[in-house]
Amino acid sequence: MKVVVISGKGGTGKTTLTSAYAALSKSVTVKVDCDVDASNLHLMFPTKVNHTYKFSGAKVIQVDEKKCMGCKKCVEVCRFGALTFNGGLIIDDLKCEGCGACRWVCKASALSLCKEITGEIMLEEMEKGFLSRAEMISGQEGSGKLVAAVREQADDIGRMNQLLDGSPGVGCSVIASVTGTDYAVVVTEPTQSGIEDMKRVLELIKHFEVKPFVVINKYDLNRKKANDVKKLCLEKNIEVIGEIPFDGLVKEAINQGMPIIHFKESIAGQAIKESFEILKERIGV
Amino acid sequence: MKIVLSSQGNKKESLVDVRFGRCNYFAIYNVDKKSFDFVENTGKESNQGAGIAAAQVVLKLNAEALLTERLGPKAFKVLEASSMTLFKCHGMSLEDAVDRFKKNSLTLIEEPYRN
Amino acid sequence: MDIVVLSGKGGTGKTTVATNLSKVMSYAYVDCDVEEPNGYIFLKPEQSTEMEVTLKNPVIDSGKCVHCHACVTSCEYNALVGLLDKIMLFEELCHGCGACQLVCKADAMTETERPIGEIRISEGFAMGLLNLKEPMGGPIISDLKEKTNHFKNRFIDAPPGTSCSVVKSVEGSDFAILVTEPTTFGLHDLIKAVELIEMMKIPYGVIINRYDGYSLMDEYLEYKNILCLGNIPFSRKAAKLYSEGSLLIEDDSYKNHFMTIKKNLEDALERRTL
Repeated sequence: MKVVVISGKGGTGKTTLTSAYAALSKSVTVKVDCDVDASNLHLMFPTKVNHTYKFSGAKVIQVDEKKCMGCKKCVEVCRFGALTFNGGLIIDDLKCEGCGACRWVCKASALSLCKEITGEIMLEEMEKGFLSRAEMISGQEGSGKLVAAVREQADDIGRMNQLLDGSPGVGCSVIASVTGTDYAVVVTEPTQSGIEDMKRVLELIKHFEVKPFVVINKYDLNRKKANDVKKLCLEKNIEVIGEIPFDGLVKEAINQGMPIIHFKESIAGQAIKESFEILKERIGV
Repeated sequence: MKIVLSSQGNKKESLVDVRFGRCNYFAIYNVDKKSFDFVENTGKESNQGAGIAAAQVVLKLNAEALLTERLGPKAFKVLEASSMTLFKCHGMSLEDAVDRFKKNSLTLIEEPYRN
Repeated sequence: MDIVVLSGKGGTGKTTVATNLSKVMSYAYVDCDVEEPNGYIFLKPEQSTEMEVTLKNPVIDSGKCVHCHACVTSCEYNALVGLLDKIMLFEELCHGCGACQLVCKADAMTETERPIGEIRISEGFAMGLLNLKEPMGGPIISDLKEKTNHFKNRFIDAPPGTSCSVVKSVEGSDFAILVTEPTTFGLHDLIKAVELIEMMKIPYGVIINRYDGYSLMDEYLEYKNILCLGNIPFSRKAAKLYSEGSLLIEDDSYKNHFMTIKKNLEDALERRTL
């Protein structure tokens, strides 16, 4: 059983919710942090790194300057503007997409594609179970592939229930986070931006046949908008399993590196706990 | 007649690999000669589309059937369009899998893998 | 003058900063968060021209194809598969690089343009939108920036994160504003954004959003000698304005904060050219 927590819009509280659910859950021993651009879940628990390895999710072209004849045919065929010629061939690593098209027009065989390290994958041990995560190297391509690799590492641990912390957006990272999961908890906020972004991500996961639930975070910052979210969910036949009030203690919890449910007096923590009970019942664990 | 199996290792005692796209080897069993051959799955190193690359490796083997467990949607699309018959195989050794194939007791893979 | 606004962590306030500053400084606003654009909610542009953005995909003429599979081997993305009787294309994996066409010896390849999204341009405003299920927003971001070159000054609203989409949004900018929030998450992700901007050698400054007093974030900026352009204080009032899709500068005290940021920004831009 795999449950992914996503949002569409960034900053709605995915990691806050995922860390709380992880702390509350007895059956989920594998946590997966799919937000490889901004991996934060590990900051909420004491962990010990079991092992780490470098991941190559892209290639870049390299030139053997001794062989280069300066014909510039490669510059002509590059569709990404990665090649320029100024006395010698200049390769812009950030623009190069590793397609290797330039190789095919080089009569001097001076060009070769080389694997580039795009991130680091970690397997960390927690008090209960494991956390599979990665840190992408800034500016790199292929975040979707890195997400796929993090998920594979989690799958390799064994056939266990998984809780996945997703990333914002609807592109390759999110697609890689959502595909093959059973349920999605969509965390939204009562704002116009949050609603528009939620609509898009709901549309996306419909395509992947993942059953969604919605949690409205900081609902009391605008009750009218929160109501709009509820109306929208009703229209789409999606259940709202939680309405979490704004609570200053959440920031405190993040800064102390602890899931909010450890703060017994937290109203947000209480509401998150209730949403978790509903979720458990709906998915049958 | 030849059949292909996704394999963890390159020995006949190896187990069937539940993964297709990123399995280590493909075992080719020659039904007439009753012998195993192995090729490395070069597709597994792919950053993306590993299932597609693995499917390409398998297609070149000119076998009649494939035995594996988890066939993703892209690999499934490729193999479905080919003339190969696809069979499902859970955690067993290559020899057991071949045995069941001969006894016709394996189920067909009719859709891509979803956990 | 191009000023890009990025953050590392999602939801820190890039769009809040970019939209409000573009108003007080009379710059054009370009929304490069093509997966989840929000700028239009606050700037409410009228009359936009819409243009489709396409990606080039190969088309194989099966009549001319000699099944050599050179195209399949040349594809770094495994987008092409050689079946017995035809070549199968997986559109969503294709980067439109044209490598397959360069290697085809049978002259069997042409190209088609597949729509992946659109861009909308109006007076002083532009945005891009990626079609759902499409994995890559990069080509739309590049197109959007190219087609808005006519704007004299632009605030470029980048997507969250530090990946290739952000790189495309940042490329060629004169200055970068990194928006963060005073939490450990904010700090952790700011460090990655700083790494990226320094790698791209673009001068930058930081704005701390949802500010509520001196914290580890201020300490970090001081310690690293990073320019702080100003703070935007947290308040329920601001949260309410934002949630309604209103600009924060509608409130006088927030307008003053943005005017201060504007002054600090203009000073930084001037120092840059010295």
